[in-house]
Amino acid sequence: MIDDKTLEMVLYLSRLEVSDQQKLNFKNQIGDILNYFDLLKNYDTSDVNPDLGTEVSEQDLRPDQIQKGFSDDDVKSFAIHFEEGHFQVPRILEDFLDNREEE
Amino acid sequence: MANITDLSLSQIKKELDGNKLSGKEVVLAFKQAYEADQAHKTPLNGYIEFFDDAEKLAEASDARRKNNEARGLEGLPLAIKDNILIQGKIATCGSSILKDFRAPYSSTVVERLKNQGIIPVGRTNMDEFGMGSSCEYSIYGPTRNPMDRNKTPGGSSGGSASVVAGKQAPAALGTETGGSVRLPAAFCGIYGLKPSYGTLSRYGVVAYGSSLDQIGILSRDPDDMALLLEHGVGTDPHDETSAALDFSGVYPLKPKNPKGLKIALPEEFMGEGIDEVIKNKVTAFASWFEKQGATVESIKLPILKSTVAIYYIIAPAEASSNLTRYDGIRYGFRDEKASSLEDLYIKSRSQGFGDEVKRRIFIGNYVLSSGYYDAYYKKAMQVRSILKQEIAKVYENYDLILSPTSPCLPFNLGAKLDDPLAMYLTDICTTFVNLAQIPSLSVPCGTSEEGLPIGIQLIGKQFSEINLLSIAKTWHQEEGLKQ
Amino acid sequence: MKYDVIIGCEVHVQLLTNTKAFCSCENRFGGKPNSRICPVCSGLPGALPVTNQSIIEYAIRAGLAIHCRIPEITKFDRKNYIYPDLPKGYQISQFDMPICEHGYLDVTTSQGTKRIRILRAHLEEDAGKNTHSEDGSGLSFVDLNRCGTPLLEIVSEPDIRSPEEAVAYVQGLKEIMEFTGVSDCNMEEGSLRCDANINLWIYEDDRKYATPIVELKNMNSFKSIRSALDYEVIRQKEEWEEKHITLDQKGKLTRGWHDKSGTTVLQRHKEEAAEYRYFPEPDLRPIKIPKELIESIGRNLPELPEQKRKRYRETLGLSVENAEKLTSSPELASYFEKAIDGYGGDVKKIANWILTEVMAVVNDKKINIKDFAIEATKVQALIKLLDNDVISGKIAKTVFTEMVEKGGDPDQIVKNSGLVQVTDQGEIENVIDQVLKDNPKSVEDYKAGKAQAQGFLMGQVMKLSKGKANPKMASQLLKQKLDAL
Repeated sequence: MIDDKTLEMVLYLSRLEVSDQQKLNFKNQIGDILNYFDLLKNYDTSDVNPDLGTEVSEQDLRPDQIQKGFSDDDVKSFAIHFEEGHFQVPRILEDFLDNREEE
Repeated sequence: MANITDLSLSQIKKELDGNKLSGKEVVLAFKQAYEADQAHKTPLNGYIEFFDDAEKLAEASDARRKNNEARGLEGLPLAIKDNILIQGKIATCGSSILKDFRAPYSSTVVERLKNQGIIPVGRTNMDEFGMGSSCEYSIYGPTRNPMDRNKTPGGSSGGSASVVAGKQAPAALGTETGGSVRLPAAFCGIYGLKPSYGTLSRYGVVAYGSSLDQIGILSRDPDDMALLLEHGVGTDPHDETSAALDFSGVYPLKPKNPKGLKIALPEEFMGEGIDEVIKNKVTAFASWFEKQGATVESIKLPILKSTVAIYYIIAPAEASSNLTRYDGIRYGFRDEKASSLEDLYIKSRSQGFGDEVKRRIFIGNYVLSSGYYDAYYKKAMQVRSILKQEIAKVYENYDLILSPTSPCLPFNLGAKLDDPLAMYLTDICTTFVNLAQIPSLSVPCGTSEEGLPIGIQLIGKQFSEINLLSIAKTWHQEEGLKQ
Repeated sequence: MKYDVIIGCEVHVQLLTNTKAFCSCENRFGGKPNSRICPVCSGLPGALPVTNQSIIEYAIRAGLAIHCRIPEITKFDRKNYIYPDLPKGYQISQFDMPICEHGYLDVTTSQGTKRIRILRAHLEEDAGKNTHSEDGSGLSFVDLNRCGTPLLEIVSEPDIRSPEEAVAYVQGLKEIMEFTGVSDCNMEEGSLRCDANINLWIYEDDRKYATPIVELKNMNSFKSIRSALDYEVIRQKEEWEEKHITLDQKGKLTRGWHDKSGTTVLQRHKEEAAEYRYFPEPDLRPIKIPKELIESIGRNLPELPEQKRKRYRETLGLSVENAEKLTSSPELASYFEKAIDGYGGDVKKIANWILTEVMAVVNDKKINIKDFAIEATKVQALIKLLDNDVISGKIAKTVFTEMVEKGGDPDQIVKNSGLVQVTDQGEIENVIDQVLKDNPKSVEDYKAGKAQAQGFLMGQVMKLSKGKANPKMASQLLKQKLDAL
């Protein structure tokens, strides 16, 4: 049902890696699940709009008034690395950015 | 007086308000129940953490009461599912990726309830990010069913159901995306309410499927739910999808006599695939309604057979996007050994998420990708529209829909772990309610011969939850209390 | 080789609302990193976006100014991609129901005026900023202050046919966004950013060939837009001559403009690039836009630069050049309009004074005209002193300098410093007599028919009177006296 190329593409979109055994499981299990989804094909939806929820009128949107956000201490309480006001990420980020600039 | 731990939330309120009990005594009673169970050879494992500060908060609450400053929910203990944020507390969602995440803000509902005096006593176990029907997909191990410890309590709010049914809390907050409150309530023999989408703010509830998520309540008495709803509802400026409801004065519930009600019983949930024992209980429940003067009619609603498919496209699609933020950059788990940014994302997420979450992220990204979007995601959104229309039509002729909560009795731990589709089909009777954004109450309706609980849903039109609870109160007073 | 250049522009402008698009954090440039963030814009678990009413109104204002249609219903979608400066892992944007559709902008270049169609303009949120340590610690930093800043992305049809036209188009948009008060369009601070899609249609062998479309990024000034597009035209032409690769064979590529080297460089493009998995944002409700709101915003739309220029030329009689200059920013136009408000004389004088004297100071101080200390009404007062012959042009400059240096009112300065022009005939004659006495040689020259001697003598008169003599009177009297000698 899912070919290897699609499997790898979707795993990459998901930023996930799984073992070869899991890949096999994924293919079978998700294949079954996708087959199950096919029962939706029985519905003629050619003139049905997707359900987008109830509308809100422009007047009822949030008023444009400033409220205070986090202090540095708030951020420190949940951040992995937060120093000198920045979320810190290892050098790898820079490597990645450099790659982006080049061919 | 009965044991404190046998009391419902509203009974405790009476005792506290009448100064028969102190808040501290109440909290201690539940804490001791929890600790006693911890010593059991197979503990229920409903709590991930029983809060150390609960006693202190109870003392402070008692002091308020002494000063005549008691609020609407003064000193009442409540267990909270581990995906509902409480400022200063860890909130893991049962996931490694948030194992050490301490919430810097509180969810609106917790904030509102705390402002009325609620004491959060602990955070409860759950399937990772709410994805599961058995409360086994958690880094904290499976939660057990207090009625039979070899069985699942149901999921994903299994921890909340287990602590309430196991008398370690009088009531608990859970969350629903496709049945995660009602199924555990049914499996554990308690009430479980999934309010309408919009009734309770989603702000501070860790998102799984945003168009489906809703906080639910688990308790042993419908009045407890009215009490919590009264103080929890109202437009939230932090949640555009929250509704402008005012439930003041709904507690205590006025019992509503079912006389004259027209009740629909979809035959899709009374046929193949539904356990006979459960069908018999539904029939018996229907007879009770008829005895009260209601009419119950079998209806055909074939689209109900497709709701699991709609659900398992839309929920994972939204989840795949909602869970992208767990990337190891700002908070949560980061693999410090990663060698590149891509590597950091992939390693952190692959170690941080469990298999079921990975599966659903995968399905979500699959159904949203360009080659498959129309066939799956868009199609599911369209069929969801049809479903909403058909449900609305039912309510043109009927006041309620009645259906089993679960197609099966509580199953053994581990039984469906290797068969995701079988696990998904446990949600066959519940997901349509979330897709249609309507309220549903799972009512405990006795047990099978071997003593396994059975739940039956009362499903109403949007924002009619108080009506459901009022009807349930009649049943609770006449029948429920006998069990 | 015969060819056409095909360009389409995607222009992002940051909207000047008080708060961010989907949370109540303050929306402004710069500041201490991560000092304006909250659960929503830092992408914390459980946080939910809530639409800022102002972004809808700003977008409608901008949209109407570029002649767009505003639909009854608009909605937001999620654009999914993963990057460290995008905390939620998706950007809230608009996919199939944008807030503005089908507008146009008329642009004028050396080739004349031309209509560029605008396909759509949609709202979205800005990302944060990544920076990198330069101290060798090998760390990168994420600042989320900019996260959630409201952006309007304006997408043109591929109607632009030259780099010059592209620059004129972006300049035109910039003006409109500034004059409607929607954005400050500061390219250095990134509040206006432009990407361009460019390719060539080459006519060969009676056929038309399209070269691969290049999306150009990283153009941070009008100069770089021009240079990058010029460069790309030549590069694509050469590539065509060399390799004959068509659009069908290669599709779309992304190249970044490098200011230093003056070249465009291919950027890594992933297969994933187009895989944004757009879907409707479930946390936000579709928005109904009342007709009355659109009408009321339309009615209150300020005069746009093109209309202003026309009025300056046709009603006020300014030159094309001055009309152009005075509308180079909304602040300058507003200063000018305040300065001429209630003024009965020739507004060209005020225009000239502002464009020369005022702008010289503003440019010298490197400030914005809106921060210029001298109120526009005082400029009018100064010009009136000139009109009424109270002071001479030369004295006016002295007075203005004093206004700049010490502040104050022109009338007061003139009175206090005794700078009032001398119009007393006797007094002026005394000065002239003195000058004629001191400069016999020049008087001789004049008599001998050297007309320029009169100019020199006139200069001496003004000098001796410390510039206060009314020049017209002095000149007449001088001539009379000379001729009478």
